[in-house]
Amino acid sequence: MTNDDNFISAMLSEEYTQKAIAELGMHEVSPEVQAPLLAMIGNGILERVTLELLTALPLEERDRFEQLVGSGKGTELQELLERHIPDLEKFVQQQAEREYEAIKTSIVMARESE
Amino acid sequence: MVDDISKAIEGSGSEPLMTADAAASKVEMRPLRDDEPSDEILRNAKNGHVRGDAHPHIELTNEEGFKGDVIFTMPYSLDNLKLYVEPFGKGIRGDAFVEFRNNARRGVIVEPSRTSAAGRYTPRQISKLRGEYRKDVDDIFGLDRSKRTQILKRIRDANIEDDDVRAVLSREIDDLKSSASSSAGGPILPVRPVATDALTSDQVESFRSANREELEKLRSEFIRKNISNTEISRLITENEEKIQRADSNAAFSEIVRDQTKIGRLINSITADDRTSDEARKLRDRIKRRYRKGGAAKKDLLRDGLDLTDEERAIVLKEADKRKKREALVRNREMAKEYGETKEDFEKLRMAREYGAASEEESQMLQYESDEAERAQGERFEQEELVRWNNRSFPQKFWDWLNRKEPPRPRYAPEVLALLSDRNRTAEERKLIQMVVQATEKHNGIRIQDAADRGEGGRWARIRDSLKGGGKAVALATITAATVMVVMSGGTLAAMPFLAKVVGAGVGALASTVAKNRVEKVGRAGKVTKFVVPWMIGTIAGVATGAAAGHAIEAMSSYFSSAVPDAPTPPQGAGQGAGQGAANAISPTGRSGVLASSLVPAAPHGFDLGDYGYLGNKVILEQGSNIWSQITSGLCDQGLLDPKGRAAFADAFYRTVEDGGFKDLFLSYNNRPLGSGVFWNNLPVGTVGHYDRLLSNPKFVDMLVDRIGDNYPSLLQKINSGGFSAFDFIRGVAYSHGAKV
Repeated sequence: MTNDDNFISAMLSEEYTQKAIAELGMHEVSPEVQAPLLAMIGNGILERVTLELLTALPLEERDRFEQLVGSGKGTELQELLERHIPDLEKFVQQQAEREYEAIKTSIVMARESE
Repeated sequence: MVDDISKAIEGSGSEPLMTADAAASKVEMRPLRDDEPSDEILRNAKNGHVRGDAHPHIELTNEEGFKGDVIFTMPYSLDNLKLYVEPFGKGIRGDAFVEFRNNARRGVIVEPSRTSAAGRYTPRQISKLRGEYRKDVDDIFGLDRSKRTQILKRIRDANIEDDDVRAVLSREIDDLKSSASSSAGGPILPVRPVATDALTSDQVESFRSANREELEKLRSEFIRKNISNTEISRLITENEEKIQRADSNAAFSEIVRDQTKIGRLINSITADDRTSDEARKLRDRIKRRYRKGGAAKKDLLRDGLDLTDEERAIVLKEADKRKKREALVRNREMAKEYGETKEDFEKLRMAREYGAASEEESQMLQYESDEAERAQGERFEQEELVRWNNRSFPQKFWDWLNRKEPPRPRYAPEVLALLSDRNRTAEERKLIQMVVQATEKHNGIRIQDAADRGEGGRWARIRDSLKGGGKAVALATITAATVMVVMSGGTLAAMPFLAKVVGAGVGALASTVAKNRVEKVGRAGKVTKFVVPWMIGTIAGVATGAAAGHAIEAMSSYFSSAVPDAPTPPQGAGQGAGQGAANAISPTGRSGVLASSLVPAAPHGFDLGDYGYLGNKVILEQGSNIWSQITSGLCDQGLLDPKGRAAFADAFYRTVEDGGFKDLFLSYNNRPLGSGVFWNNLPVGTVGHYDRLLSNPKFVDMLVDRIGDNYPSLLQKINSGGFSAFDFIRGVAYSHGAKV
């Protein structure tokens, strides 16, 4: 397991990790398989949220968003988004949950079709 | 130990009290510091200048690096020094330091530094002083337990020789006396029985409550340690009952004593006291928490009784750190008398340096100051980590978005590479494939959505900025998207075997291009291996509909992002099936764009069957024959019959031999590659145009011929479906946008 795996798991919280392991049927696989799978799903979630933020911004602000991502100017980035997205935290949480549910549904369906 | 010798020294008369051997067994040694003299002092000793009267503070250091202050030594002999003791002038000089030596051992009694040179009291006197202060504290009725512990620690560690320190201590004890006696709120505990046993009902309730609280802490600790111990369980129950009944100072004192005992017992529990099941549970818990980092270390310290070697090493290291930190915190508390900051320490150091303090002491203070700062820094880091862990997902998300160097995420090739591990179980393989498929499916949809909105380029740049792995990750996306296509396709649109063969060939070319890129990126991005995306070729026979479009979009995105100066990939290149996609990509081969497209699949339907091989990898090695390596790898994996290898390679080589690369499918900087370019030396930026390869009638003819020659059973199969080998190849070619 790499630090990156740890980081993403930590970022998505212990709750997420346990939930994903239980719901996606990962409890029977070894930790060295679990970790990268969780990290992969976690990253998908992070990207989904980022893309949804980009989408929610008006066209004229998207360049600014692109510039600010990864620049370390966290306050500015947040201010930019808050101007256009009401209840930003809720929005982020919802998008993360949506992505997780979508991935989960795919996996569940794949299992059922076996 | 030091007290023992001091006592001996303080004895009286000039009788030898112990030999050097005896003394040596009682001394602590420390190495000589770099700045300490050695030879000169030893010479002085040899010359007899060792009488305390003449040199009240002589340092005697031997050549092995131990030194000490010689107080009384006579007569002097290098071979067998005996200690002769004369009455010690109390209050005249500080601690008793005895240097001794014989042929075997040498050493020095080392008193704690702070009370060494500048002191005016003997260790016994110091001990007595401390005892008096302790007694004062013990006499305080109803003193809060934590305050009591705190002040006792201070008494233990204080430089009690210092008048100012003593004055401060006395004042504090007085304050405690008055505050404890007023007893204005907060739990208080009788620390020792007092003359009268009369307690008011409020006091009784207060003591009971405080003791219950303390017992609960002990019980929690006991439970947390996950141990079975009937003695402790019994004591806890008893203590609980005693608290219920207690109504006198004597009873409460007994309760406190019992609790101290319980705490000691809990702390002394070792792994041996656990059952194997408990030990296993604990070990699992520690490992689990250890993996998560952060708080785990703290737990290891607490629970670290039944650990692996690795965990034990961590525990020991952490314990050492903690010990140092605690010592420093004590020192720092004492130094609060002089101020909080490093500057204050420095002032104190200077004051002492130019006053009565020794150089050693000033250095010690400096060291303590530095260590205290470092410890504080560590504490802040730990606290910061805990704070971060407790943050909500949205808050952490902002952190991630703002990181200049975020962690490199896991992408499909790395995950799929797990499949090549023979130790993976069937369940694991299945899960890996499912998760990759599900995750990348949505990844593909995201990419597609972004492209549909005209945000593809911007999104690609944002993704790059969020990925520590950089452009190598984009390659991963290609493969992952491909896997998604293959896995969601469900059926092969053409004969599986040949699709694999052709796929292998096309994939090989893509791999060659990718190899150069990945190697380049790999040097910076630590990516040295990757799953050969030979499956890309398989798309030709497999992919249908929008899913295929995602793969193409991903490929375009990759080539766009992998070549820094490349134009943005054509928007909508991945928008689904058929000629729309074919038209979206220039048939002339734009630089930076992988010219390929998909049309509806040929009307053959062969089940691909077990997709497990998708994770198998061929690692490309610098300087080898890429073609040979790819085909060998595929043969090794059972994907390509050795005959198929020959057929494909032969068809390809013959075609190149006749017409060179020019009319095939490789270009560089918008120009076809010349015949001087070898497979194992393709330049970075090479573009593959698969439609051209499969549009080359000579290649197709040769391949058709070779199918018949080398795969009679395959040809028979194709024919039985009402198709010729040419039809089949054409189907595959069409799927690449080629016109045969």
